[in-house]
Amino acid sequence: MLTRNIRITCGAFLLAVFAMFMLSAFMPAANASEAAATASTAVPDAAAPATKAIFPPAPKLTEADYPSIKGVNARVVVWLVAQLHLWFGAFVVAVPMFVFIIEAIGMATREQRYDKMAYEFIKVTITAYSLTALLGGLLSFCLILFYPDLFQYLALIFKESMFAYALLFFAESAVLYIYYYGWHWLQGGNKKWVHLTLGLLLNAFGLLLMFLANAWTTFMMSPAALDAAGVFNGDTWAAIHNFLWNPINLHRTVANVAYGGSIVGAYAAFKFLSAKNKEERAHYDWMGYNANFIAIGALLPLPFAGYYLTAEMYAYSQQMGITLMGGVFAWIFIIQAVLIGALFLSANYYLWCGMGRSEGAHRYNHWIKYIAVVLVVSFLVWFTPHTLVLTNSELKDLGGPYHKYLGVLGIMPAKNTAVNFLILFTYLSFMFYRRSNKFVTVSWAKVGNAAQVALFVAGSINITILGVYHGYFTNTVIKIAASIPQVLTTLVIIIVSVIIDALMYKGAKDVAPLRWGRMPPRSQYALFLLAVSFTWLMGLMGYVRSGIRQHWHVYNMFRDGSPDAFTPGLDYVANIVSIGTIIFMAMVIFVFWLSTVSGKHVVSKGYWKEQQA
Amino acid sequence: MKAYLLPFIGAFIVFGIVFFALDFYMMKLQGLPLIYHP
Repeated sequence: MLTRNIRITCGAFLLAVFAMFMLSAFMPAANASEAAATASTAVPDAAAPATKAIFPPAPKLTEADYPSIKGVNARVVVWLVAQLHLWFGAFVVAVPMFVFIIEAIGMATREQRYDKMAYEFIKVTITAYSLTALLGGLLSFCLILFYPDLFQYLALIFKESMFAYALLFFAESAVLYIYYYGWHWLQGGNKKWVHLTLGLLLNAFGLLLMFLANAWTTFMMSPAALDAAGVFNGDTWAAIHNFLWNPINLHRTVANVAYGGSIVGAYAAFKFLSAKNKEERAHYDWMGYNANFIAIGALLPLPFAGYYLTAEMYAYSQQMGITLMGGVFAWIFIIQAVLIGALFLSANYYLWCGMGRSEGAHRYNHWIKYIAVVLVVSFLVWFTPHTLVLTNSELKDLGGPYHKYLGVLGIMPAKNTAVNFLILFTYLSFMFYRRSNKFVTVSWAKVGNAAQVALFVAGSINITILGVYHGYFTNTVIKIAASIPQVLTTLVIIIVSVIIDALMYKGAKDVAPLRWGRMPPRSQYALFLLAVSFTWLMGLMGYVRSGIRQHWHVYNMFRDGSPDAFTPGLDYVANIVSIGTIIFMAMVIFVFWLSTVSGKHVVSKGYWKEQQA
Repeated sequence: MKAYLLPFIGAFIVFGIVFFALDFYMMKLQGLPLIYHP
């Protein structure tokens, strides 16, 4: 079964990688900022149909144009509401994706436990879905109230897609409710296929909604079809298909799956810790394992999707790219690195604890300490800053802004190498976990193991050469270009290793039945850590994505004239995002609690009148 | 030990060539040499 799961995940992984390369084919020209400049000087065609909509120029606003409510900071309110909407939105878009896959696995294997787990996942989504809609409504009100001119400007450009969004939302709601409430009704034979099709439709609607909303966001970052005055002279597709739309679509889709996995993992941990008996504990342990598997599966390609998005930002506007990673926002990337490191460490820790479910894990336990060393060293390199915030005396003591030895670890080649090792060794943890309960039976097991070791050694040497030689002893162009074979080396190692392992362990015997539920409570806190780290990370990086527009509503076109048109200090940002994270986690606990309450049935004897027969 | 060593050496050479070809091809696709000539 695990092999089947791995195959499905690898298939999705390959598709995601394929999509990463294919999407660029549908992208506008690479010299986008220049292309935008050319477009901006284009004179509207005199022969154009008279019916063509005429759009206003970008308004030139002053502080007086922004309505205010006494005691309310408009930016903070919109920031928090938008972020909360996005967190819940990411969750409800993601969960149906893996619910669909789990339901399909259940249908293929005819094991009802998969169907039950898929149902439980979607049950958690229902309340979250209502909260997403409520927060979306609140966000619209806030934007109309506090930023009416911006809202009007964007609504005119995106009127068709906004209307379609509203209609799609109705369609998604209808499908979701039929999918959830019809779960036990649409069982067996063709009915189950109808149910699975509904799941597919639900995903299609959910993703379409997200893609449309992404277009509004990315238009503000990389506007398309605007002239020098900010007059829109294109059609809906031109506005939607702006330069950063596809990179964001890809990044958010992969990230949402990882995020959704982590939140349902936290749900499983919550239920595990409050379980009343062994059976419940075993069930939620199994659920937590699957959620963690989903989260890790999507987390592994996520840095590559992020790298692609960042590269596209640089391609769109070097100034934006430098603001992003070379200016004030760069320090948030250090916090990001710490949080991503925490994600990898907690995911690995959970896997290591999970090996305790197996009687055969002792064969692999001694390797864990070496994996831990590599992960910790990679983690340290990953978050080593390039420059430090120093006083004059500290600067003098250090002999410059860069540390003599650690300074070299602050640049991207070191980070890329570190993250590739983080990913590789996380995969290795998973491989050991998978092997821990199996006895290999094929005659070529020794050859297979030797080949696996050779694969990892050769690949690791290649990653190191690409990171060290190409990263430090060549020019910048080669340094950046070398990151691509470096990433592909990691992918090749994982894919080839999965293939060798799948062939080697085909028909392998179990050491003993896995003891689901035999997990220490501390392992469940690793799942909580995963969910909290993801939430905080999304909040911080969401701020960065939005903040790099600096004092522009629509980058370089529509200036922000509000009193808050400045980039706040990092401590302020961290506080706001932390407040948002706390509010979100409180709401999530409320959702978990509701799902627990809905399953309780209290019989109140003597309260109701006896029914007469 | 021999049962592991020989397959290891063989596989190491094969994967080494594969990774070298991957590096070479990916750099070539980007119009760049694998070895830097200042």
